[in-house]
Amino acid sequence: MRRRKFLKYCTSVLSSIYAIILAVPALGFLFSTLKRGQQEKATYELAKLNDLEPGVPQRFTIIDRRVDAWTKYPSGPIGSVWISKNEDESITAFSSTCPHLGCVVDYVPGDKVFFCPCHAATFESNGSIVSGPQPRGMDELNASIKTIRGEKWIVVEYEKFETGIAEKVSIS
Amino acid sequence: MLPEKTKKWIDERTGYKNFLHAIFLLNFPTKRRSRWQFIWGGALVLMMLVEIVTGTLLMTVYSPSEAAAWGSVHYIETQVNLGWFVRGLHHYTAHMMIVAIIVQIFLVIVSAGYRKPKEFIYWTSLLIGGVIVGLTITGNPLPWDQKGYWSYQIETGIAGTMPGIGSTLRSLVVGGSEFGNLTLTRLYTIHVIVLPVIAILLFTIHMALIRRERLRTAKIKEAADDPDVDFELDEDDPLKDEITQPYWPYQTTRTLVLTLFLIGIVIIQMMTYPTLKNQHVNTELLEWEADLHPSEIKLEAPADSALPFVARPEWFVRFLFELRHMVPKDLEVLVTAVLPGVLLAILVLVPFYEKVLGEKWGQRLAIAVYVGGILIISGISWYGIQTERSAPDYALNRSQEIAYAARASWLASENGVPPEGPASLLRNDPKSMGPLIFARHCGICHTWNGHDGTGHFIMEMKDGKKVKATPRASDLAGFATTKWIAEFLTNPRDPKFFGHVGSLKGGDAILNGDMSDWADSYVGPEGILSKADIEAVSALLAREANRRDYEPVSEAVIKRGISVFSGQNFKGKDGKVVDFDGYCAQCHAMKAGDPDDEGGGAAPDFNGYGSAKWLSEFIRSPGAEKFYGDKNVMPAFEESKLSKHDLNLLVNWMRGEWQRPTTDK
Ligand code: FES
Repeated sequence: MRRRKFLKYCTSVLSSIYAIILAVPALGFLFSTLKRGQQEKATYELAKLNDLEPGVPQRFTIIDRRVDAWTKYPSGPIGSVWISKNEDESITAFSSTCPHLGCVVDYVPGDKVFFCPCHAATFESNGSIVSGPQPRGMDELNASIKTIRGEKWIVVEYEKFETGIAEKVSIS
Repeated sequence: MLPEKTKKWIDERTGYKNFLHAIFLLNFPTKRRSRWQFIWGGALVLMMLVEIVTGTLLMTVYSPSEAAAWGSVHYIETQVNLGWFVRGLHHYTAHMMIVAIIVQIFLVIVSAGYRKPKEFIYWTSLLIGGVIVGLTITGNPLPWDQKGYWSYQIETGIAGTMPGIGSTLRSLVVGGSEFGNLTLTRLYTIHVIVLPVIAILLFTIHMALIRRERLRTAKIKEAADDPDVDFELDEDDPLKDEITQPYWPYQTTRTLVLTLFLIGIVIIQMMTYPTLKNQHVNTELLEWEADLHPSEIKLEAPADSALPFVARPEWFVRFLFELRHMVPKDLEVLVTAVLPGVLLAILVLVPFYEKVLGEKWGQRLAIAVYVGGILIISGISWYGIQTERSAPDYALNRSQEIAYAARASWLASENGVPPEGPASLLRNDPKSMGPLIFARHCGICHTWNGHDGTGHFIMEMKDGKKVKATPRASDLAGFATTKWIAEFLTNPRDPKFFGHVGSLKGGDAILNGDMSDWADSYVGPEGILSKADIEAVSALLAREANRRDYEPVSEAVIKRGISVFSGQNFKGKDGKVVDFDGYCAQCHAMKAGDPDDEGGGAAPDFNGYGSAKWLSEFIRSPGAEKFYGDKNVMPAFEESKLSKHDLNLLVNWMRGEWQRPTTDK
């Protein structure tokens, strides 16, 4: 019976080795493919400052190359931003992605509010919540003004955020 | 692990203990003498489990379409953590399983495992073996690289020759008459669902049969051992040999030892694979230097029927492929359809040999046929591989394939795979396509370092023998470099330049024309031009081409070049300004070398000489006024002969312009 015990012991050691040979690569493999949001933060020159009318937000499309796992797509739209010029020439930029579930937010010029058509989230033109199911206000993006060849350009740092939660968490 | 009480609670409700006993054949008898023989089946099951786990992992990334398959596998190899390990394990364990099946069938025959009442156990194991071969054949083309693509071409080609059902069978697995997206989706379906399900069904039947047989033996043993039962086994009954011993842990330990041993071999093979595989090939042959070290090349180039690749089938069907080439055309069906059928019948009918010949001789015949068959098949395969490797161009062709594989991998890592698919990586790459285009269009007259650009030599028939053809026009490797121009100016009649142009219709005007006369009069020991003069004017011309390998020269050298080109301010060998009437601008126009801008006109225009634009224009119409005019002997390559795309690739390749690692800029 000693022999039998020994063999049982051997079986469990050997089968653990077998399991490890499979499990370690499996976990490595799975977890590296679960990573998401590989897109890096990037800045875009979107418009000339003078072309904007104070107080009226305008939507600009972000055009860039997109890498999806192994495929690299040529330039195309990857998102859009709402930019408004304030009276004092300062700039505010919002991601047009609704913080509720990610639809594209519209602007209603008459009421001077941002409005999401999916579940009726409404935002003040400064991005704060008016009404609706959204857990937070619109996501503000870093925007600055850069002088290029004597002209003032609006530069926006575009990134994406998790939707549906109260905190603003970047997924870059 | 679980407390006894919980186990009992679960067992009362599920009966799992009995179930486990059933699975592990607990307390079933095993042959005393052959405890190490009966573990191959178990090892096969454990390896199949490895295949299922790794296969499922691969499925989370792999994408079966022409545009995505290669890219996704490349992604697995290079981006996914341990992806290379998972894929390697999947790939090589499959091959190891085929080895294990060959051994297993041998052991079954040696231990008469096909004998009554075990015929069906034997037959189901043969079927499972067949399914595993099928899994390997359908799995290999999935990366859609050159190797998989071409070996599947051959394998479906062999299937297509079967009389009657051949072509239907072929279009069924190919998804039409041509390879394409449907081929991959079909392959994928067969590989991940159809065959595995069949394998599991067969395995269930197989195990049920084994259980039944073992139980029966156990009962007989029990009766024989029980003194109360009046039953004795014959002295020579094989059952005398059996001992009752639980499968677990006695057999499981052995099975695991063997499995880990085999997987260990697989892992070693996997780690040394690329270098091992191409050990016999010099990967730096001629123009075909590879962009990556062989150990970094994980995949052959993306499938592309336009790129050369020597098709080879999988090793275990290699013998059919070889035999097919050994027999005359109209006997091919015998080899591709009849022979596999006969081999199959020989194996299937093994249990009946003993009916005819008696147990002893029947088994001997079975062993002889099996071992003999395997020896013959390996002999044929080995012979085939040896002939292939000793073929004159094997090393050259293989290094081209390796260079393509390396290039595609490198480009994919560098730029990503374009949405239209991985084949365009090489199709838009001057380094890969240039030599092919050159060989097809230019290599008939011109040479490149003596060969046709790809490393092959142009052959022609002379007195019934194949000999290296004499080129009819200049060698273009290094075209428009300082060195090339200087060599040309020193001796235009050299075989490397105009030497053989004379053999063309009208070529005499060039061979013995103005340029040769010029060299006769001004170059050489008696000539007025020194070596430095030649070099200076060559550098001046090479500056127009501005190739990436052009090394800028000093202002003084350029000045000297200009003086040779324009004849102004020309200093002779003693350093004094002398008259020089052999200046280039008499015939050639080039603003950079000729302040007066005389305009030339009698010979090719050198403005932008050797640049991409100049070369393209020249190739399109060498007989234009600004080039050779009516002296021209070179055919014009209009759009209809050479597309714009190909022309660009050709020109860039000739100038050495292609994407390279930034380090060597
Ligand atoms: S997504 Fe905008 S309101 Fe729901």
